[in-house]
Amino acid sequence: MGDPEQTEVTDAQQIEASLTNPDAFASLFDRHAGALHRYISKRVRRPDAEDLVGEAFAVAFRSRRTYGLSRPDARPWLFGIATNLVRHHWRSEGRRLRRERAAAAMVDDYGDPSEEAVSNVFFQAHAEPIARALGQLDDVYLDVLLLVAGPGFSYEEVSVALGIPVGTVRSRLSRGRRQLRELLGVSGQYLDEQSPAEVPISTEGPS
Amino acid sequence: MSTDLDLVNDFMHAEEVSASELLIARSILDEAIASEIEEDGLAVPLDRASQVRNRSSRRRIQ
Repeated sequence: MGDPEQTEVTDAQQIEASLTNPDAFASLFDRHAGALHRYISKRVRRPDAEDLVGEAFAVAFRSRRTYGLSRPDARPWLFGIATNLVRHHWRSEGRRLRRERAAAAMVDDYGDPSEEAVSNVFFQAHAEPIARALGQLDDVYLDVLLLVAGPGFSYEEVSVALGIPVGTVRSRLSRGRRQLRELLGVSGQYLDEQSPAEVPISTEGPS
Repeated sequence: MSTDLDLVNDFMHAEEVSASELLIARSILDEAIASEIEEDGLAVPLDRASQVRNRSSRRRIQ
């Protein structure tokens, strides 16, 4: 058997092949759909995630002629498309809730039907403290944090995915992590610092 | 000791994705591909994935 690193066809090569043979694009789905689903399903309700994964690949397919073929790994491009679709999804949800509320004068859990507030309510529905903390993060920090911690993107890959400079990625990650630590601290989790429970309590009085 | 990024990573990878969960997603891509092939003048049979997609749409409408 040959060296898989030498024989593996890159995403860029598959995209290039799909320009003349559209079916070749399906191999990108086989490679990355699982990871994309994991990312999207943590940001929208699970039934909606299936549709958004499909939409992300459909959008990517239709715009593949604009893909920079010098980039062998298409994941930053795909996750960038997915991030935009997630935002669009929550904007649509916010509009829908505003319409419903206007039509029926409804009072529901979504006190503020803005995009960010509606998506935050989604996170609050999770039991895990980390999900609830993520729900309170500013969206610009959340995007960067999830792309670094989820698919494990580098600063450069996040920069490509979100279309922002590398320096902005770095500062947003730093601020996002700080905000997250504060939020988790509030909810009783201690991370880089020693937990009070682990701090030995002296029983000796002052000498 | 866990760091904040480890916690986020664990949260992101907490659940596995089953192949059946990706059927609808795949059918959406297949439709996009079929649509382009059709525009180029090639005949495209209604494949199984599209049937799944159509069934799903009907289910959601109901």
